[in-house]
Amino acid sequence: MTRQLVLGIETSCDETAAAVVSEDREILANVVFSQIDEHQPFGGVVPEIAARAHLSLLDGLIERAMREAEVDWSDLSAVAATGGPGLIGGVIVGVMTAKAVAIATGLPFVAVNHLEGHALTARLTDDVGFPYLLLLVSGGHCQLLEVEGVGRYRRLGTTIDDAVGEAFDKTAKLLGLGYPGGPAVERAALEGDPARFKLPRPMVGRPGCDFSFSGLKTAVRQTVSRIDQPSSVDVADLAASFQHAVAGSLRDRCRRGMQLFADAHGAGRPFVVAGGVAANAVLRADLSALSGEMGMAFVAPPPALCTDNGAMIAWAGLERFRLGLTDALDFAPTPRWPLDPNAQIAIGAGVKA
Amino acid sequence: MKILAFDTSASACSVAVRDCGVLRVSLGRDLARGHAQVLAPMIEAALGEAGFGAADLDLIAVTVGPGSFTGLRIGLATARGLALACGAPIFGASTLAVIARQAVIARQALAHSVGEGCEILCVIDSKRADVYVQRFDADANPLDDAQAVTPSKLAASLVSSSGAAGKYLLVGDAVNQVAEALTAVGLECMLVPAGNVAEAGTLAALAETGFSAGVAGLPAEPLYLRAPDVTLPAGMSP
Repeated sequence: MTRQLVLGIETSCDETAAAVVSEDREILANVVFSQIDEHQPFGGVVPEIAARAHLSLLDGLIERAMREAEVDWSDLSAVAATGGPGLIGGVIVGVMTAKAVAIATGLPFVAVNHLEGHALTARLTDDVGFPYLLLLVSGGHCQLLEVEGVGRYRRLGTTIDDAVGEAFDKTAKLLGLGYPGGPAVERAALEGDPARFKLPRPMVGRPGCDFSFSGLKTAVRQTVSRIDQPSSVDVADLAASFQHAVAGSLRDRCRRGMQLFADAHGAGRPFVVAGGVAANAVLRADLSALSGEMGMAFVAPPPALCTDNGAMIAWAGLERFRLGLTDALDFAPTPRWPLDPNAQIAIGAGVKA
Repeated sequence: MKILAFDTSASACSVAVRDCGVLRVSLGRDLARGHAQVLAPMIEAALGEAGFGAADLDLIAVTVGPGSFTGLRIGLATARGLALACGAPIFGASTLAVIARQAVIARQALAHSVGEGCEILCVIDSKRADVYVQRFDADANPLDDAQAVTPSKLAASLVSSSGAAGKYLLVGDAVNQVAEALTAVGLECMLVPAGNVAEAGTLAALAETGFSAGVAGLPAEPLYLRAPDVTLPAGMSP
């Protein structure tokens, strides 16, 4: 019997990606084109530039992924694409391409929630069983979720304003470290003293599991403006202090989430960290330590599968396809698509919650 | 020769299938948004009605613009995805050329002569101050390149190039704005009852004629005619 293979397409932000994965958790190809160079001059992702680039790049990347995987259309079981949430211009390009492939090949089409792609990656990389606690941290999101099954999520907490990756990007901008901010701040922080600047650790001690990062961002801006001509030492120290504050906030919020999760599902279940910010080594180490302290098994996919990629979409598509969850060709690409539709909308976070 | 053609460049979505030189299927609907939802099912329905699959196609024809940026990407992503999976080549066509062809067909169908021998001015609404414009001769052969220009600048440039006695057959969904600007400077405008947005049926015929004659279509890249609306941070140069 031949194993099931799924093609996955990701175009929801500034990475154009295509991948082929198998039901036995092998990544046969995972091609990612980062549009960093296109957006760098603007200090952030420009939606129209991203949409244009996705269209120019995507078919070539799919062809390359299929070639690298050494598969033909007839070897595939389904074609999956990110259907949202994300920058709608890019999502549309990926969805239309996948629908066209579905028409031409007769393959079923699966519209994947980008967040579910991140959420299920740990099952691709580490074969994690349900249920598990998930911290989803990226440029567009910051959420704590109970993952009970494919398509079954309960949100324990969300950011009420900025996403954590956004705070990294804005801090990088304030410190003149460029874009993308996450890796830039992490690199600068390596040489810095995390104790030099006393920055607020948002939400620490507050009830619930919600996050907030806009106050921290403001504190960074005020600190920068108080320093006349920041030296490279100042920048490193501030980057380290910022990262330290983020870690403190995440630790506090996750500790609460872990307690709630243990109450509902018992002790010893996995704690999974996913999303682009999960590629940050300092935060990973910190959350891993917390996880051990709380008696949970720590799982974080390798950094290349934390940032946006096609393999996570192919895998989530495969999981949905196995359950018969395919989509009709009139699927509407959507900018907002919460994993937990019953969770309350956090007003300040907009589509991020 | 089996051709699938579609257009999503404006406030309509149309799909057509031609086979052996005959228009077999023509589907269309007016809609301001939601092209991403309706296009794929319409293509499936059109192929189903024609009685063959995407694998049998010899050519995929698509409008590349100018038009709605999102609409162009919907059509082109679909065309490129189909081409990738079924191997048929893509024939790209300008929306302006398709609409100009529609004007010729409409004029020929009229009992009385309107704008006989007259230059065709095809104008598309950009939803901004300017319009997308291209000039064609009376047989819809292009006389210049497509451009984005305000109606008043267009009127001024027409006066300077062909004098105030010029007569134009206007077509496209921006005819009202442009007619006003042209008559204001004394130019004569005529209208024909032609489809004001590119129609897949016309596109399919155009592609068939072109492809059979060995003419390459436009590349499967959007003709945006406008850079992304974004400004560099202070102190940065492009």
